[in-house]
Amino acid sequence: MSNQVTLTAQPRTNHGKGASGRLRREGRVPGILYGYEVEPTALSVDALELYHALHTEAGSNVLLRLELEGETYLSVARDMQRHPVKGVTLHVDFLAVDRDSQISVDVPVSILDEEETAEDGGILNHILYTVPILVKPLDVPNNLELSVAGMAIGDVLRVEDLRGQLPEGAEFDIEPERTVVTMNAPMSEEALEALEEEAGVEQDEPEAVDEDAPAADAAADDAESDEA
Amino acid sequence: MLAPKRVKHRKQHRPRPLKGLSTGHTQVYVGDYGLMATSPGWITARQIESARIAITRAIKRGGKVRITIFPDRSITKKPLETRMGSGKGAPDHWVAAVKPGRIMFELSGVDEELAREAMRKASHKLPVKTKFVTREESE
Repeated sequence: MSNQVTLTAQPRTNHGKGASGRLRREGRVPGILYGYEVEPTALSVDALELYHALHTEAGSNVLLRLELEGETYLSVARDMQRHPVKGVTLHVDFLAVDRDSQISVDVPVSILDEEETAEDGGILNHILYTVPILVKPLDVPNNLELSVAGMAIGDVLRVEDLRGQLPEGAEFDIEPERTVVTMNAPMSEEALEALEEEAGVEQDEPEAVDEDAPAADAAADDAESDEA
Repeated sequence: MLAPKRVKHRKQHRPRPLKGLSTGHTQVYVGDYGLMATSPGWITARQIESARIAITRAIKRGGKVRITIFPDRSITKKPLETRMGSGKGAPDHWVAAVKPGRIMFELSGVDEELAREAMRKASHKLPVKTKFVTREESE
């Protein structure tokens, strides 16, 4: 069940990168609110408040009670732009939601019992880290837990194996046959040696693509031009 | 070593000095840990190969390494002791142009301590400043 966190927002009238930059220097994050029964509204929130709101047990799927100009909107953080190196949030989209309508959320998958796998030297390969589900906003689970106890080499766990943990009325927004976790055989000694060796230093020059010639004849034409 | 199989033109203009930040692959997408560039640079195919071997040797048989940059820019060079002129030199090697924020290697299937050590060894082979990142940090 999702936690609800209150977040205070202020309307934003100045747009563009100059005004957004000034807001960021003041410790605020520019954003926008759109969705259920609300006109798209530019706003800004306190950066620290936003950080704490999105770092609860519910993670980024936390249900927010966004207070804006005396109104309260039930919303979720839908899209966040981050600085690629510093990681700070540059812009955030809030999606206003209806408590009775389903929304699609990406729920993280936690792996349990990693120490209790079959002792055959297999290596756990986690493929799907989040699973999108269609669920009512108040029922969004914090995470879906998948036990890998007893898994042996060649075993596969799929999205379907998480069905038991779905809240009532929720559905997967992804094919249930998709693989979540596999147990792979460890690399053979020969394969490891081959990987550790340096690939050939010398390399052939790549073939040039001739745009005018048909694809099949391109190689032959190149060879002729080289001879000439 | 990594190199394109087919190219439209053998010789390219020399890449301009890299400006700005990376706009693609700035998160760890398929692994648990990543090595992020925090300064810009051209990474040659040899340096990528060298870093890959350093990671593979560090993690032994466990884990999976993924290279998320590709050297697709050709750099030409004139032979030694050649006078200027007479056209552009022959293609010499291939580089990947990397801007700050780019995840260059991803690693999965190992614990964090080993991943940090493997990435540290790889970073010594690269001409850019780097930062170790985890999936949670980059999301």
